[in-house]
Amino acid sequence: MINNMFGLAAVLFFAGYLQAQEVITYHDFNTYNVALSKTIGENEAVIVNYWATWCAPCIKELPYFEELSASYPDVKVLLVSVDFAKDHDKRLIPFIDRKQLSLPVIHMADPKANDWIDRIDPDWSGAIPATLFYSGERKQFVEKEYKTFEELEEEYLTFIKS
Amino acid sequence: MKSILSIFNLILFSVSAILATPPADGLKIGDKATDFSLKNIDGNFVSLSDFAEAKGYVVIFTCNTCPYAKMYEDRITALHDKYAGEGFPVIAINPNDPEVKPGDGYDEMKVRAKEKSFQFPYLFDAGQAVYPQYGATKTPHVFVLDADMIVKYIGAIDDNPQDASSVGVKYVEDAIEAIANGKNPDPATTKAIGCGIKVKA
Repeated sequence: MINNMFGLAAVLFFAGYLQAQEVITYHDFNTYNVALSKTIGENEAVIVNYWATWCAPCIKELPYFEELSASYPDVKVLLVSVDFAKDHDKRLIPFIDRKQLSLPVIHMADPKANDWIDRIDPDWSGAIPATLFYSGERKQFVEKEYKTFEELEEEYLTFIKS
Repeated sequence: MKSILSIFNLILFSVSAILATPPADGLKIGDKATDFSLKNIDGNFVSLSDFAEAKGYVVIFTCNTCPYAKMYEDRITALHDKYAGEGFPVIAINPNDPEVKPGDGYDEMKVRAKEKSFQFPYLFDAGQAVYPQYGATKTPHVFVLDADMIVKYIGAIDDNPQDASSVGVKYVEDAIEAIANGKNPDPATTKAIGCGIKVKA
């Protein structure tokens, strides 16, 4: 009986462990930026989508990024949440579990947005969703909401072929 | 002589036409802000020109529902408490279309203002005519004007929406102090951080 209970607990523990992805949190833009540059250097193409759990249009387009990643395994897709730091445990993590997001989520929780928005792209008003495409030294910034998967796919293919 | 006068008239006409046309992308630093008459939560209409003794104006586009706007409610009250008596009234305007964003209607504004004991005007931009003239895009989005309604500062309230106790730079307070001392605010613009203003697609 004791063994069975232990076994059950272990199963539940591992099930939970496998389900939840590890979300790296940055409280400081510089550290995030270094990690991002490294990722860009290590991959053929990188797409970074800025979103938050409180942003309805962002949530609507998340599945398109999942689909893009599944269709084009060579591109590294990162979902960078700009949720408030205080919402990490109570909103962001439950959201990721509920939606079963398979793409890596990074929590960029540096609150001083006026110091870092321009460093991501000077054209960025700060509105989300916003998406960046990187390949080597090339970069494309897009401040809009993708209404369909095809719209996102076309943007990616145009970028990668140009 | 006649032709010269005509040309002169024509030039005058052109200049006034340009001045009368609202800037396409909203107000820039140095522009004269447009006055308005919008309904306050108490049922009265409020205009900038109602504040005859003002040394400046703190016009804040904000709303009930945006998480950023909520985080700034107490700080907007603090701005009013500190500066309204000094001649810099805070005037809050909700620019959202309540059909797009339920919770940002006029009745909900009254409820929220009562809950938070707003002492400043909280106006409803019915028909969404005013915010495009200013070029506001977010809630909250601040425009600090001088006594002549010239735009001196556009952007965020301070540099840390999430945590009032960790604010480094109070942009709006610094702008007010600069205007009060006859100087131009530095920075004159920052990026307003918040939710997009809700309009019908």
